[in-house]
Amino acid sequence: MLAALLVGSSPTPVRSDEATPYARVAPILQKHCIGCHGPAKSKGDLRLDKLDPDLIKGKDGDHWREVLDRLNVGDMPPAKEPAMKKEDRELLTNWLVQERRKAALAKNPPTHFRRLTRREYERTLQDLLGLPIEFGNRLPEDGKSKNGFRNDGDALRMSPLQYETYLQLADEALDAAIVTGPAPAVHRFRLSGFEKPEKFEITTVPKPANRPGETFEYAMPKGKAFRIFNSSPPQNNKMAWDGTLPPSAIRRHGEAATQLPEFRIAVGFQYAYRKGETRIRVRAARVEPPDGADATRVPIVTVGFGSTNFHGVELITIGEPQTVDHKDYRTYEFMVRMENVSTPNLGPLNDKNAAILSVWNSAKVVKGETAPPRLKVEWVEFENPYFETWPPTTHTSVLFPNKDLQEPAYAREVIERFATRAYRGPVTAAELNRLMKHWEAARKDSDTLEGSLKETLAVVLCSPRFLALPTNSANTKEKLTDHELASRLSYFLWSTMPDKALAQLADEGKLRDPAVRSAQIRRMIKDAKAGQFVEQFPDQWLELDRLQRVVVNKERYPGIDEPLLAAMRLETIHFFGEVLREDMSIFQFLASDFTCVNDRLAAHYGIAGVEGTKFRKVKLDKEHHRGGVLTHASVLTGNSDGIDGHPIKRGMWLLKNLLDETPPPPPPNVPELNRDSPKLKNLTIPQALAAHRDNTACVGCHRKIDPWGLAFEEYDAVGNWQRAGIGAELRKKRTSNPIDAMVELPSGAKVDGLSGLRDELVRARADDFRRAMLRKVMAYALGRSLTLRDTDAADALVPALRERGDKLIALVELIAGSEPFQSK
Amino acid sequence: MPQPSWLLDRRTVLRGAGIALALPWLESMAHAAPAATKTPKRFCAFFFGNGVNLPSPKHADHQDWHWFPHADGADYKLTKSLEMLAPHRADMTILGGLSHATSRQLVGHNTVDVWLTGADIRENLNNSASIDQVIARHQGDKTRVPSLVLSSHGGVGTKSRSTTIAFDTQGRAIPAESNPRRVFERLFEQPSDGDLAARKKALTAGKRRVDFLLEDAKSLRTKLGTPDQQRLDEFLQSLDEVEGRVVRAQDWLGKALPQVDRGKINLDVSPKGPTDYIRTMYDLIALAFETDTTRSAAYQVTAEDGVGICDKFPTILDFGRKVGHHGLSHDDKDPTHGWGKYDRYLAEQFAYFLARLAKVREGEGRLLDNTVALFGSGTSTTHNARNYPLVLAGGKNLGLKHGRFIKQKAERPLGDLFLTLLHRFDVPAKTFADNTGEFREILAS
Repeated sequence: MLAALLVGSSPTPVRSDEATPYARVAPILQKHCIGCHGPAKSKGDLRLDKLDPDLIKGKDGDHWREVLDRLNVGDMPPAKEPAMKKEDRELLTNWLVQERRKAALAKNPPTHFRRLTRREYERTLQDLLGLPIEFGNRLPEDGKSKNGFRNDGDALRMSPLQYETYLQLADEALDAAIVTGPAPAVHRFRLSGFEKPEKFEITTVPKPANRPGETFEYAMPKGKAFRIFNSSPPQNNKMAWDGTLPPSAIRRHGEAATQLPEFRIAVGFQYAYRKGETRIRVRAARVEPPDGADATRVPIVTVGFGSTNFHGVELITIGEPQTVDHKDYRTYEFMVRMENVSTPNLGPLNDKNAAILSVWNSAKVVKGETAPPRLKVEWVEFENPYFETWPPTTHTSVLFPNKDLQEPAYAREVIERFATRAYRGPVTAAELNRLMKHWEAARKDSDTLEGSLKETLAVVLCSPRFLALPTNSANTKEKLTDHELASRLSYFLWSTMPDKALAQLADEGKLRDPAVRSAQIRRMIKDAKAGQFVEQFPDQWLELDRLQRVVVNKERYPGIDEPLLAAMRLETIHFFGEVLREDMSIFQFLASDFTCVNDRLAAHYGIAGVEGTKFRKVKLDKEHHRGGVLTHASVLTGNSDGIDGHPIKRGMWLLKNLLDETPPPPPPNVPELNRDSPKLKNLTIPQALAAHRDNTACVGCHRKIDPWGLAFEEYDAVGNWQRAGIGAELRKKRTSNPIDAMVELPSGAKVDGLSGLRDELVRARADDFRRAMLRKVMAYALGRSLTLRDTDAADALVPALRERGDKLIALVELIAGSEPFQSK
Repeated sequence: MPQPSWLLDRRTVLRGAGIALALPWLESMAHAAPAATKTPKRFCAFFFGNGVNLPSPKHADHQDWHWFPHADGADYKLTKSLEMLAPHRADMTILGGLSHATSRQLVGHNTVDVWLTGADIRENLNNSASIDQVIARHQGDKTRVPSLVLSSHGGVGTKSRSTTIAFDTQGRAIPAESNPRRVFERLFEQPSDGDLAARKKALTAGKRRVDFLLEDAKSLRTKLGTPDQQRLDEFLQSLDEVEGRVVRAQDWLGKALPQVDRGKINLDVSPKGPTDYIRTMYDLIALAFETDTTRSAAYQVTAEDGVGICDKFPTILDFGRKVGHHGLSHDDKDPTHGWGKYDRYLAEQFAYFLARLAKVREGEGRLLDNTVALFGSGTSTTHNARNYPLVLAGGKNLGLKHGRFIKQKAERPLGDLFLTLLHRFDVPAKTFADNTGEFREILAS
């Protein structure tokens, strides 16, 4: 009851402007309570005359809570005592609620300073320097806060190890971006002659006319610098090797590595390319399919880079695999930063410790296919480091070409420009002077201007002004500065620093204009960078990481593998992206007539006609029994125990994430429901749950949880619909009990299964769902656990959201316009 | 011809190659403020590849050449395999039934990479910090050299057959030094003027940066409200510690080196004479401990599988057929005279090391009492990544209790032992790799 009051579902808010003073309350307590709970008697060990009425500094909060509970339940004062007047009871409860709110506000003040998450740090550094290097993997993993969000400042801790890693990464990043001296020599070569081992050839590619950097001359008897790992004629395979590539896939290898695809062009290098941008170009065509071949089958050119090890290879796919539907040779380009792939160990290189490049056809492998779609490759070109100009743009965008500035003036300009971007807002004169002092000291010890500037820019990259948000704390007023606002928007939707357009609007002070802000939000959502919000928010809101923790029983559910589990997670993410980008109603999350699937997930759901690994929107018909996140395999599987659906987990999940009514944790020492216990063996799951909750002190909460979860019963542990098809067959092997998904919700409403539940949610809990969504998005947008004030602000947006047709972008705009979002 | 890019650049050499020469924040340094006058605590680990000879009970040689002793508890009976360790019975514990859980299904040779780390390398070869580096990070700045990483083969080797057993806090292999002369020079001789100048410069720059950042954070602090200040304070505390490490590293540059007479140690050795070579490596570690030049050492005595020159040690020493260490471990015909004898030989060298530490007085006790030494392999027999053969010795003053052979009823995570050891080094770790608990039976109380 109290919890309900606090989370705001109570219809009688205590937000009147006139606060109730204790002086008005004391006489009521004296009249009705002190007789039994005072100097004369102290029933239940409670003396109200001794309770500290200051709930902020006092220590009696729990006792006052008890008083409020009793008043609400209505069993105090007891029936045999004189009844409390209605106004008095109201006054007393009002005072209690008001003081408890004050205490909650005082004890949980809003925080706004938080460090960047690992992901935000990486993306900010990438954008700042124009370097697509995955720096974040080197940092310790971020924690997850109580509310499940990983950008919550409460969970983002700092440690010496973490700080040292920042110091180290700053040096490495600047070393990669800023160069000294003339262009280095470049490894440029072409591999060709794949049709026969003896024709295989490696030739140096001459330096293009307008490009800097000399090409290495390779004095190579070929076996020396390169080792060929091309497929040789497979001994036990009827398909002879003719240099063309039928579909093939990287194979899992039970020994800490993968194996190369069976059909591939692959070369190991006796040089390791450890750093820098690399360009790989592949000249490829499809082999003309024989008459009668399946016209929908097309080869896909795919490039992997990595290293060999004792057992196999560590290989990652680089760039986007490309469909090759032409018979003439065309050139495809793939880019990779060497820092992002597994490189060989330091030390002498050999076959088992070499860099490796592989090209293959990643079209789906179909067993027994007579005419698979084949890829042919004329040549593969390699270039590392790859740069168009020297110095590269990563260098000139920081160390801009200097026309006529003296060294200190130039340094000052470089540092100011860089720090302004890195700090996501103006740098004060005092700050700049300090940085200049640092540079002057560094310059004395450094042989080069570049070296000294790198030292000072590294300081910028390790400052709390860069590593944390918001950064312009010089302002102690409540409102965020324009630049802080730009940052908050940018980290909310992009998980990175503001781009030029946002920064400029902040400079001009225009972001406070709702129309301007709204246009920016729409622009930002259209931008590919919004993929960060689209991925991270639903992942954390709907706890999709549960999928990783469930061990699906392989005997019960054959064919559930990593790619399918990954597809489950991606469905929810793509679905969220669709709702956002198409600006649909948030009620699509509860019920929709479409979803997003790839081939694997479509097969799992029994949706026909979906080819390929790309996710796409598909229309759902009634017989699919899908629609909305409740029916997503990610949610159903994540909230199972790997053998059966788990009604308690599912019920908890729904209450917590869709209604924001998290039930309290179970009391300590409550045993788990043991499904193997003989007592429960012959019971259906609803019966077993009933037995469980009736036998223990759990009934109060579980009455509120279990019905929600039991309504999911038509879906098994991996999200199969159990009333027909494969789901029904699998179920037969587990149990002969009938499916019972008919439940009575705490409100008294009776619903049958998820479709009934969804209807009921939309009908009776629409505002609760709006409120929950607003709070979840608010928490993510602010990067903090919501304070009472934040929650109030989110809740107050419910009518506005309703008015705007519950559109998701409208919700984002409302949050961005809210007082907490605009304030510290 | 291009410069082969695997040649280490200068910075890499400074950072790695066996001796982390404490650049400002790049390598392991201490975690806590130094506790001034306490007796130093040292950790060292010694690895050999390919497991040990364990003839089945039916085999005629089971009685004499089964590496693990017969009977457990305090009354265990050593076989010939570990007989040479008998003088140290009171100072050591033989451990059975321990292994890293996620590696048990792998072909055992891989466990060389994870022997000291316990990382899960089933999906990819990303490693995590090894226990010697965790300890070095915690107390490494109390000595001039934070940690010593050695191997008979040297370098890093190939992933899954590494020729080092030490991995840094980001899980990257630390190149091991194999040349005793270079180890000696780095430990006990003045670096060249150029090296010294480069280090001084790097440390000055490091100090300048950290000082700037501290001031930065402090000025920011005044502008924040109380709850935000608490968050920023974590930045400040972290930076404070980093600064402390840089300053201590600077201090070491100015301090006099311990006087160690080159004549006292035989540096004229090579892996072609395994006994002298291995003993010199052990000597170097003992000297480094004795002079308190470092408190953490990891030495891969021999590599896994047939890797490196160390595979030939038994051949050079004329144990059994001339098929190398890995070959001997697969020699079904006569495992005992090759493999078993080599087991005995490796234990004998470890016994030599323990005897050395036992002779040195330190405070109230012996150097051995302030040193925890772990000796063993990552497989029981070759290709079997369970029941690692392990001997834990020394460390009485760290609260370790010895004199037993401790077996397990069921295979147990080695992480349990590592966590308990970390706690003896005052590392406030809550877990290590996939540990499920602690290993309190190794403690005196």
